[in-house]
Amino acid sequence: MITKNAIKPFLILSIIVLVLGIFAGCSKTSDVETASNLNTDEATKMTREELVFVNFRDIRDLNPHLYAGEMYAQEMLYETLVTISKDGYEPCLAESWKISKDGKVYTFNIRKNVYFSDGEICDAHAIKANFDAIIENKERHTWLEMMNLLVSVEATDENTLMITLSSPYYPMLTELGVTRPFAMVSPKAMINGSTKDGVQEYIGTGSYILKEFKTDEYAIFEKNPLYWGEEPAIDKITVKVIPDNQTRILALENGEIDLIYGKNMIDADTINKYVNSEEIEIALSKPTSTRQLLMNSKSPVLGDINVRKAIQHATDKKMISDGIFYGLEEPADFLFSKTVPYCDVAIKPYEYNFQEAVKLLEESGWVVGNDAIREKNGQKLAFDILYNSDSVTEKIISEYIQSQYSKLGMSVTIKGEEEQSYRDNMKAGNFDMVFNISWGMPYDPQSSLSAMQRPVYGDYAAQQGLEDKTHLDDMISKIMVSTSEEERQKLYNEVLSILHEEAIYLPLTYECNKAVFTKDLNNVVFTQSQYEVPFAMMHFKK
Amino acid sequence: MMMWERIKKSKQGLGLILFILIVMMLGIFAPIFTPNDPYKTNLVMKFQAFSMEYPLGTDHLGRCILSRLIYGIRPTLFLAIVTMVGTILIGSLMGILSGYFKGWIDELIMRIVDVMLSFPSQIMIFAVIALLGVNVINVILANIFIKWAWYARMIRTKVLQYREKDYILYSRCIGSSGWYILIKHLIPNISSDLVVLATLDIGWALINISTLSFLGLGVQAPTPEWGAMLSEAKNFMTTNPVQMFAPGVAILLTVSAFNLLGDVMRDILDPKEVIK
Repeated sequence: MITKNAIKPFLILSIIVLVLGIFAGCSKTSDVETASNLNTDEATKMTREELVFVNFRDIRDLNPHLYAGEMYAQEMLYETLVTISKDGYEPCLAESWKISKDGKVYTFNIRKNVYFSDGEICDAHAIKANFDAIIENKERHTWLEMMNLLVSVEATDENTLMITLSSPYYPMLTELGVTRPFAMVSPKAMINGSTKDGVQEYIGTGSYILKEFKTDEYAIFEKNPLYWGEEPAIDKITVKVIPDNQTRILALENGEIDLIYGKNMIDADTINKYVNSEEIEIALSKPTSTRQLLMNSKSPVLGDINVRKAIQHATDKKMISDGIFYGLEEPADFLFSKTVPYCDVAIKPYEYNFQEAVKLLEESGWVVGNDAIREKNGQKLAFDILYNSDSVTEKIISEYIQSQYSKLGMSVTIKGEEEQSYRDNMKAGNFDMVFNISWGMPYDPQSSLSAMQRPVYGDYAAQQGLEDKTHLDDMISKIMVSTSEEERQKLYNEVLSILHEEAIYLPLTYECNKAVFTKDLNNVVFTQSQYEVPFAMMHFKK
Repeated sequence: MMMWERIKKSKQGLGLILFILIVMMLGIFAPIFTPNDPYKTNLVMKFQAFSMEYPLGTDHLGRCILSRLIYGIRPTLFLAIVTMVGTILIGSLMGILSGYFKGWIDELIMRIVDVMLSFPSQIMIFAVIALLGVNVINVILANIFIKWAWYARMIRTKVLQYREKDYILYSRCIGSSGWYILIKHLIPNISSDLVVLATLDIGWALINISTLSFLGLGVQAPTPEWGAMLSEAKNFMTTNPVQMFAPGVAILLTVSAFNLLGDVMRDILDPKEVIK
């Protein structure tokens, strides 16, 4: 009878654990609610001048002349000559500017009495020093066409900066308005006048300064006392690093953080959950960019244009929009939305049509094999989809289209990688199909197209198998230096039509920026750049 | 079949074996028992509650959770069994060689075992998978690679116990060959220990495979696997917490069943028990 006695305690114990587990699971939500009530009560008693923000990874290297830092943080610390708003260009470090008649010489009138947060003056000479540092590392910035056209940058006096180009270039001000690489860092922070190997400190003229940070844990920003513009309402911004989506949401619910903000930081289920919440508010921007997949024309399977077209026809975007995003993101038919400048091009979208997809594959010689997977000359219709595992929705979309394509007789393997290795693989062209990084305003369409000419993201590698790749690149270069509006539009039409015809971009939805935040926080808005988090505009309810 | 006779007397043992057999049957005949296609996605029907059509509801892609759970038995349980068989085979082979032949073979094997045992097993598994790549076969290889040493040592101790017994010495005296003694005398003696170890090992392997799939290193989407299902459910923990129950409870029950069965077997097969 020893056996029986030995087992009983085990059984009883495991049942107790199970039951307790169930109760703990049920009571968790109410615990969280009370905790968040307590926290907000305590918080309102004190003056709320600290905002706790969250990001999925560390701020990393905030040197604005390189590309390894988090952009929201760079936008807080640094400023550019001009800023881009929805009404056009607005003065920032440059108070005003003149463009010569031939479009080659830009004269900037630099704002007076602007100081870097280390006390250095930010005059035309300091800005010139920045340009020198940027130009020194020219190869790294060639995705900006202006780097290739730049003749000289001169500070004629303390308040005047003159930039000369070899030919007129219409997106010039837009490119000067992007944070990277044209944000100004204090010359004192540079290492021997150079920034390409890093900076000593992250010192800019922006509304906040970086006070303290601990890698992969937190970063603390405080108001810049020397800031020239309007003083932000929130004194201190703490950014915590929480990589997991669900942990972020729990942290928001129990008051540990105040704001989650970003395109890929919040899934639609979470937004839906808070639609009628008393404690938590949501905000959605207008569509900022196109969520898209990129097919590699060098891939043995996707190199076949008919396979690409079949995929275009077999993707139910409406279902992705309704089913995964609850309609928050509209289905996308084109690489760039028709509202993007120059992109209202007369091209016919690929309709969702399963029969058409089957027909294309059959005609192209892909026949169903014994294992229900199509094949042609011994080549299986099998490929990979690479996604960024730090994004909250890419995995679900991948799983969904994997199951859709399997009905077509395609064998799809999905592969998630954390953001950095995903980007590296993308740049190196190590993919069949990949979630492309869409740039959004103000980069669309000129910088995104310009970047296709060189290995910036995956576009360059993916387009290598296209017959008219050189022609495409030629036209893109021409667009950038074209002076007549009409010619420019004509070239855009042609480039966008070719890209559409080649079917290497699979647009899914027009994605929007999303925010969920505590009700105490006011004025959570979205600016033109989808990468900026406008902390300076936010304030807490009194 | 002394062992079976003894097991038959234990109600717990029979109950647990029955439970495990039912689970295995469900897995083997999954297409018969599943109400829906486990791979069929339907985004309109995602996160459905329990219903006649979907007895355990649907997941984030609108797939039937019950069907996935039943299909999930295949990779979860059968990979665990493959792992167990592999570990026990290598482990007992090494253990018997080491214990029976002693001398330099023993020294060599035991030193390798020492090295293997000095690493934390989970880290080693990650290292092996990182080297070989994410793949089900590699997961099994990694598990076997890590765990054999532990069994080798257990088996060796048992072999040492028996090899100096009188009947084995006698057998040797009358000129039986080493292999004959091994197969006819030693292995039957240690077989009951092997059974206990094997049963306990399935529970361990099951958890390990689920863990790796949970971390995205084991069975890959869309194949249903309990750990992977739990990992997917985790992504909707705050919005749809019910999602985690089915795979979680399934792992809990199956692993408990194997562990309890292991305990029961140990008690039943304990030589002291027999004497009573």
